[in-house]
Amino acid sequence: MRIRMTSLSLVHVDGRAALDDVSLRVPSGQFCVVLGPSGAGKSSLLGVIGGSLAPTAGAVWLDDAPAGLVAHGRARPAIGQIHQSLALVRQSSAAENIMAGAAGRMAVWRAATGLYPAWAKERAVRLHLALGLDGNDISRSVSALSGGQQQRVAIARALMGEPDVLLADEPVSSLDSVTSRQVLDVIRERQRTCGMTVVCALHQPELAREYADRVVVMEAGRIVFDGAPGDYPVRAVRQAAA
Amino acid sequence: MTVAVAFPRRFGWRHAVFSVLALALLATSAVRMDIGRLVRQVTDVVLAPVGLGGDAPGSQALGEMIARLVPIQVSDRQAISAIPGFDAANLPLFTRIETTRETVREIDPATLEPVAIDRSTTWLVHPFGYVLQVADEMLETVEIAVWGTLLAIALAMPLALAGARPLAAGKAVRGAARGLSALLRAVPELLSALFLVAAFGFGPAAGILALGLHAAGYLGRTIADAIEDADQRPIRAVQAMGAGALVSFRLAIWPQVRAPFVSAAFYILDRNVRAATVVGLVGAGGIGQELKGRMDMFEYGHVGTILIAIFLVVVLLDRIAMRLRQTSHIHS
Repeated sequence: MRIRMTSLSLVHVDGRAALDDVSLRVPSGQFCVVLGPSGAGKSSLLGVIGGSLAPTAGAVWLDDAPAGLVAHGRARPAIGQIHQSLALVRQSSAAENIMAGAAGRMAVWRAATGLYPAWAKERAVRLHLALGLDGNDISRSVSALSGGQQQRVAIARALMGEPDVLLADEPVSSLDSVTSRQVLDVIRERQRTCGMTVVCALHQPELAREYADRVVVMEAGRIVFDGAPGDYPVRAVRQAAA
Repeated sequence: MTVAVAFPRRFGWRHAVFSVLALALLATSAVRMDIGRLVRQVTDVVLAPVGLGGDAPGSQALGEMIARLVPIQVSDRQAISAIPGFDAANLPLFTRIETTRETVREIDPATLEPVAIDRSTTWLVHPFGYVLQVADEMLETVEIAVWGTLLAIALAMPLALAGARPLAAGKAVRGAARGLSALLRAVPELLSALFLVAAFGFGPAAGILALGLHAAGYLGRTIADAIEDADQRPIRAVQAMGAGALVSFRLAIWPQVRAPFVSAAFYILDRNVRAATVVGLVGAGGIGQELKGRMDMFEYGHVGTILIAIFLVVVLLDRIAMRLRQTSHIHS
């Protein structure tokens, strides 16, 4: 699925500009990493694409169809999202949280009663294990899991619906470098085998160089660099991500 | 180094004005409510048993009343003459026969003079008859409370869903649901039981309705508040992934409100058991009817048995509720 953004601006209620005339095209199947310091506008960009934030100006197209706000009833099961806040139901088990990612892809009665189809249960377990989580943790309450484990549950939920687009807001911020690579391997594997488009905000330049097809660097709501990872000097990327 | 940003002030002039107004209101109300006398009397009652404090008629009256509750009534008896077809050779299990003799003064119809007559009565005694009767009526009270709680849950769920901002179909619907909850809550069980007994007659039906309607108002608001207080981010996340209203309720809202719901439902059940005894006083079934009758006849031994039964059931339910709440938290 292609993503196109034209002249996106987003001004918060307090007058702070989060996005300032941002235009970007992400072709289908690309792994696009967005780097930048805190407050640069990375999360706002992902929020506007995901439909949780309404741009002040400009528009977002998904495969040339204009995308509205999710709050206006236009849900986007084709988009998987990993939120910075994780947005997990802390009282539910890891399994239930992961399964929520496929809620839009199964019969309502199955999702409402918890009698999930076999394919969904099998996929949930496979994702859980692929992301390096312990098998016993799948039935534990999310509130009993560590920050890193919770982050991987959120990633599993986002991938559960086999989305065409993955919007990942700092998906490995709580993980060590080995687990970070394990998680990014799972995302890249799906990107390469299924053509999933990935827009991923990261803080680790070395991971961006290793996994991204393209790096976009933002500062103060504007795009200051857009190109191949190798084209951007490591020192500059480090500064941008700091 | 000069710090340009000041630490936020904890208290301001608004707090001071509010505190002064609140204290003035309380002081005025204390005079109207005669709080001084209340404090003196309670102090006397508390200190009298240890020999301190002044004359405490309240303490004396309370002590006498409590003393009359013991010995509690355990057995029950029936005059054999009032049992049709009584067969002394085949006594019911655990029963025995007792004969009492008493001297009563009656008017001799011939002389119109009072005369002393020795009267003998034979009784069939059930050793635990009254305890079993109270247990049966207590069971009826608990059943009224359980059905009242189920009715409250059935009425409260739609009220809560319609009255919670994230789910309400509009401001008008939310306002109507919240208003109805407030109305139900505002009518005390005892008051509605009086009307319902008149409408449905004596018995448990009026009690169940009275308890259910009042508790539905409380539960409806509590659950609606819990839904509004729930973390909205997972709800939005699940909705964004294509879940409709029912599925997002089941996957993202219900897990968050389950614990407060279970707590509130058990609080309602616990409260309903006690309230069921009160509505019984006006004829809405259960132990309350028995309690009222015994108090009216000054049979304080019977009252003692009933109060112990109520206490035991409330403690037992509290233990069960605590266990179930723990189980609910573990599984949530």
